Amino acid sequence: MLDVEAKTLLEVDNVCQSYSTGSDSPGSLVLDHVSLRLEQNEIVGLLGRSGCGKSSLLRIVAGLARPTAGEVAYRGVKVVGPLNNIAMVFQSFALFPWLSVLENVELGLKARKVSAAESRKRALAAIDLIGLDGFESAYPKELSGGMRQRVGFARALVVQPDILLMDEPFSALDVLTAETLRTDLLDLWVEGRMPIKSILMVTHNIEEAVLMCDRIIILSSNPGRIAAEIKVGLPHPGNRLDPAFRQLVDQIYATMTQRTETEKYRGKFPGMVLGWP
Amino acid sequence: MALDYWQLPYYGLRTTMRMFAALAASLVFTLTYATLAAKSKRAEQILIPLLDVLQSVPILGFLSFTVTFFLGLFPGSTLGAECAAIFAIFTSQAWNMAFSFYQSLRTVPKDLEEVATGFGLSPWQRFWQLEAPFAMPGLVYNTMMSMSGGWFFVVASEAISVGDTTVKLPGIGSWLAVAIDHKDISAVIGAVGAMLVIILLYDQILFRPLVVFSQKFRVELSMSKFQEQSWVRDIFVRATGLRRVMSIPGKIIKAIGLLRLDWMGEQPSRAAWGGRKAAVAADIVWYVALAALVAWSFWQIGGFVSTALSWADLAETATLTIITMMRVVALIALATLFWVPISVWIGLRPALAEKAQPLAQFMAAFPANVVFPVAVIGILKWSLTPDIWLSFLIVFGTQWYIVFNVIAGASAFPNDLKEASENLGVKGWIWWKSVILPGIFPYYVTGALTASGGSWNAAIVAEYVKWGDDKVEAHGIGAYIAKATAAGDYPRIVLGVAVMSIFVIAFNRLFWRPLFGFAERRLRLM
Ligand SMILES: Nc1ncnc2c1ncn2[C@@H]1O[C@H](COP(=O)(O)OP(=O)(O)OP(=O)(O)O)[C@@H](O)[C@H]1O
Ligand SMILES: [Mg+2]
Repeated sequence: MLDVEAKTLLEVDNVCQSYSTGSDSPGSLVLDHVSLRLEQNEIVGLLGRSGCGKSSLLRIVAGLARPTAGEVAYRGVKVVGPLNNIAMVFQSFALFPWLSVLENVELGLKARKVSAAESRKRALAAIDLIGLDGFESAYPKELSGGMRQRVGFARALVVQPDILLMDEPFSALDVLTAETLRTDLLDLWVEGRMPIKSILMVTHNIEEAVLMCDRIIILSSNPGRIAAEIKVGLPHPGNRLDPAFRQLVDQIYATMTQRTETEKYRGKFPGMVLGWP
Repeated sequence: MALDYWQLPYYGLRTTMRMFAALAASLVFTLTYATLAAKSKRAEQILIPLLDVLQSVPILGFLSFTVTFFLGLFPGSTLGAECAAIFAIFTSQAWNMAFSFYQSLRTVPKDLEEVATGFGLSPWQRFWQLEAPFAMPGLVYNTMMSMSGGWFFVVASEAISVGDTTVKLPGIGSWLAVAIDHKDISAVIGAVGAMLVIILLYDQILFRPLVVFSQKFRVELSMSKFQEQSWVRDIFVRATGLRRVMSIPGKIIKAIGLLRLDWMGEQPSRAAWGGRKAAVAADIVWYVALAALVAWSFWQIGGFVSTALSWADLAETATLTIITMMRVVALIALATLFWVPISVWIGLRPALAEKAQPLAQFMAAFPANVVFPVAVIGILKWSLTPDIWLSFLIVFGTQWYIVFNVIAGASAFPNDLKEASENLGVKGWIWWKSVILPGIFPYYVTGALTASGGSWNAAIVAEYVKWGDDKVEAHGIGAYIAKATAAGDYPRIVLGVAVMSIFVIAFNRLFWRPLFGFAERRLRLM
């Protein structure tokens, strides 16, 4: 029992979220009693249709938003605001356009009151690690999308978080760039060159999820509930041609579309609730 | 002119009519001047630098000239004085409207232009179908800002005395002047009240609906992100009868815009100016002619001024201008230190910003010179130092430009950047320095530039104020010009205005321009 406690990094317990639109009514439910755990040394993927609340869940985990009900605990301590041990990579990169690559990466260290010399050293190391050597003094405007996202990674890695949250980190990139960046990140992870203990990532790409994750959580939409949880159990980095890989992708695809079908029927024929648990 | 309270609404109406007359003139000027500058390279070379100078010159200093000019044009009639007042307001509005329109015309996206060419639109159609709609958000926004600034000038220009000539046009400004002469505090309060009502009506009936209307065109301008509301617009949209009536002018404008009007001829395209060498030669001739013109005007001014004044006067005006400049700089800095943190705080709270933004815009429109007498009474009563306390009047009306621009900037600050800084745990001084200040800086510069221009103008009326026979005066070029105007001392007016203008232009070139460039280059969000 104690062992399990020690291995659990993050626990999301019955989290609900609803946004009030305007001043009236509490608004519709976006997340409905979502519970999940993040253990050490695993990558967990969040899949689900657009608008099902993946980003909302990630924000809550990061302490950027407060759930309407339920709670999030990091190593047994309730999360009430942004934590130093949880870093986030944004889909839109979210780089500060007026700061150079180096300054962007250093920002989090400065906020943690790391000395100037030390933060310079660590930032340069992170930039080097992520393969942006030579671009330290460039501004985000001058970089390509793939390079910007690398800065986003470096900025998150340099603060040496326990948990890395990623919100569709590759979806703004073209297929090839995404593939390269994904492989680079996986290499760092497998070789243990990052101090990160666990990654929670949102994606729309089933193959990407199977390729990278140890566990995949599928959210249903309206309201967002956990529809299925799938253990991947394939080695990293995975092989797309492996029959087991294809089979898993097909299975997840089927699960997601099936959910959609039932949701559709439920909506269309309110009287005909299918007798599924 | 008697201080009869029943007349106040009538005076208010007259003042408002002057505003709208000037606005109509400004719009006509904008559509022609800016279009000409954008279409013809030759015209652009003279029109745009001229506009740049006109934009930064403190217009109130020229009031005495325009008044004498227009009075001479219509001797023995108030029409001259009306024209002078309208012209003063016009000069406060037209330049930045024209400038904004010109810039929009020059930045019409290339692909849209190609589409227009592909469809074979005539120049007239192209203007109404493409260029005018594209330039609309900027024009609407600048028109509104100009209107707000105009109230100050209408109040200042209604009652003028140049030497022995005294003009008092029926309006709030003249009412105020009479109230000051009679030391009638309740009449001053009446003027403040009347002005409040007028600005409130103007805000609700014209300004708000325009803001809501212009949201439709907005691509990315300051003030974005708010869902502005206007009950007046709601009435027009909801009531079908009204909507039908209102759609008639819309249809007419649409029909006019679709006429081909080919007789207007093909405008010469910007590139078609003969050979390279010919162009260079023409440029040289052009610049020589311009330089000669400028030299000639300096010669004229010098000749006129030197008959009555000496080098010592020049040194005096320069010193006074520096004093006023220090005053303007110090007060803009003070207003910045005070308002930027507050405005950022407000701007980051959408619910609060939505309420504060219209209020700041309202305050910016309110002509500060109406409350000057109240401040003067205070200064007299507690015998305060005019050099310090009159200074505050300079930013009294202009600080709001900083406020609402910074609020707009803070509320337009991208959400992902906000979250990223939170996620990194950025707080305190680092947050101000690396996150929010660079984010709002382009907005701040816009606001501070407007505030600074307004402050130079305000200095002319704020450094020398009267209450009956009591005069309160601060050292500065504003007081110098105001006194020279009251005495009808033309050489001194010319010298004062010329020196002040040169300083302001230099100040804008050497300080605001580089700041603007920096904000554009480095701090624009992608
Ligand atoms: N700040 C907010 N205010 C109001 N509603 C919100 C807010 N953020 C999200 N929502 C709503 O919550 C729902 C879920 O949004 P969320 O961004 O979490 O979806 P998502 O699963 O990340 O979608 P996508 O895959 O498109 O990114 C959406 O219907 C959205 O409109
Ligand atoms: Mg999302």
